[in-house]
Amino acid sequence: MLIQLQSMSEAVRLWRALGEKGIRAEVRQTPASMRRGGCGYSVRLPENALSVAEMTAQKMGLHILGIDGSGGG
Amino acid sequence: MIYFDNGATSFPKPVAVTEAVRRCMNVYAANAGRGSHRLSVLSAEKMWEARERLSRLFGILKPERLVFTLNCTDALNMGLYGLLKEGDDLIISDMEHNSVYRPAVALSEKGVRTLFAESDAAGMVSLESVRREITPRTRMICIQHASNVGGGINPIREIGQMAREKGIIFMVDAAQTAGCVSIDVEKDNIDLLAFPGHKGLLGPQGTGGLYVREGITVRPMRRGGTGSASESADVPDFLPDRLESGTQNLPGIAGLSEGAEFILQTGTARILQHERKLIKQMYDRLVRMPGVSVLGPDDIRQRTGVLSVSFKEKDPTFVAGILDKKYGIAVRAGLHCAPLAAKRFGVSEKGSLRFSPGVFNTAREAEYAMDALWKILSR
Repeated sequence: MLIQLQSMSEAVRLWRALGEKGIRAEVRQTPASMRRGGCGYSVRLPENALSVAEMTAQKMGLHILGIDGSGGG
Repeated sequence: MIYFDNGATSFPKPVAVTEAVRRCMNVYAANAGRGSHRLSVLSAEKMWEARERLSRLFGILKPERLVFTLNCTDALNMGLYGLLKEGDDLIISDMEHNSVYRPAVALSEKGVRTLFAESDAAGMVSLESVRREITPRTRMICIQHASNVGGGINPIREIGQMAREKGIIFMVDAAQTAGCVSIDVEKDNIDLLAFPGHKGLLGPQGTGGLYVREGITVRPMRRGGTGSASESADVPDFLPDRLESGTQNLPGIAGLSEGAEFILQTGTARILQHERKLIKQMYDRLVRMPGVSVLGPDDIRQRTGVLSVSFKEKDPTFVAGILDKKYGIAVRAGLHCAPLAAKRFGVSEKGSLRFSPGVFNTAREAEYAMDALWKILSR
């Protein structure tokens, strides 16, 4: 799963927060197929961690721009 | 060399600061937010860690509201130019550094009127003196937390409270206090906090920051790449990206982060206590020296780590030169980039000599400096 965020700062924040919860994730550049243009950053994570990640992002005030179930390759 | 010029920039730095800069340059100095390889991510992580540490130090609830700047001057300019417009009134004090005074003068050409809150004989600004200058057009109050000449600490919490009640933006210039005097943007009612990274925060030169309270939108002075929302013709509308166009000073920020951590571990109260002890020691000697006038408040509890003197006969520049060449003591002489303060203290012609001890100075060094000054003045 890929969660697309506004910026690298936001991606790093979510990635760190998930790491503290024991969820293995990684920061990735958002694939062209997913982004609406320009560049962007996402957090790649296991599918079963999606709801935790969404809640965490919401709690942190992060702006999720999109979610891609393919995992971005 | 005995260094008493921490008011200009602190020296030496903690080992952790220099080591962090070295490690960054040697191990991971990639471009944060300009790629997703592991070094870029590590760089971004280090920047975020620095933001978090500084936020903890200043009571900032949302670290993304803190943007990195080149220095305190840069931060102050961002706040002033980014918020004021034609028809606005700005209140500053008659003690402000050129970092506030010069932009204020330049803004007058854009139709921004500057009003000056009058300080007292010790160079300190009262709540009442600021209140007197408020008009229906007052958009911002920008006041230094402490003077870089007189050393007196201003009542920012009370001024901030008044500004909040009247819907006026309150910006604080923390050039002489960040890292050595407790600052809490929530408790102190601060809307914008401008601070240098290379003074009391013990980071490298070329670092600083600006905190912007949520709800306040600062127009960016610079526009360019942010590594985010690149499809847009304008910079993003969110912080920190909106105000951080271009590649950031990562090695500097890595050092600043460790400086902030050093302060967090040591505690501002302990640092201020140490500096005031040295100030008291020097003050007690200086007031007994003939032809010497100490500038600023007599009550040491009202001071930060700055102690300036003027001389009845000697030229402070000449005295500073002897202290340097003969005694190996680094101090600063002149107007200290604060002509308003020099005027307030009546030392515009010759300026003053400033001792500004830091966290690593000792009582023995202070004693040696006072002995040296005594010998120079006795000649």
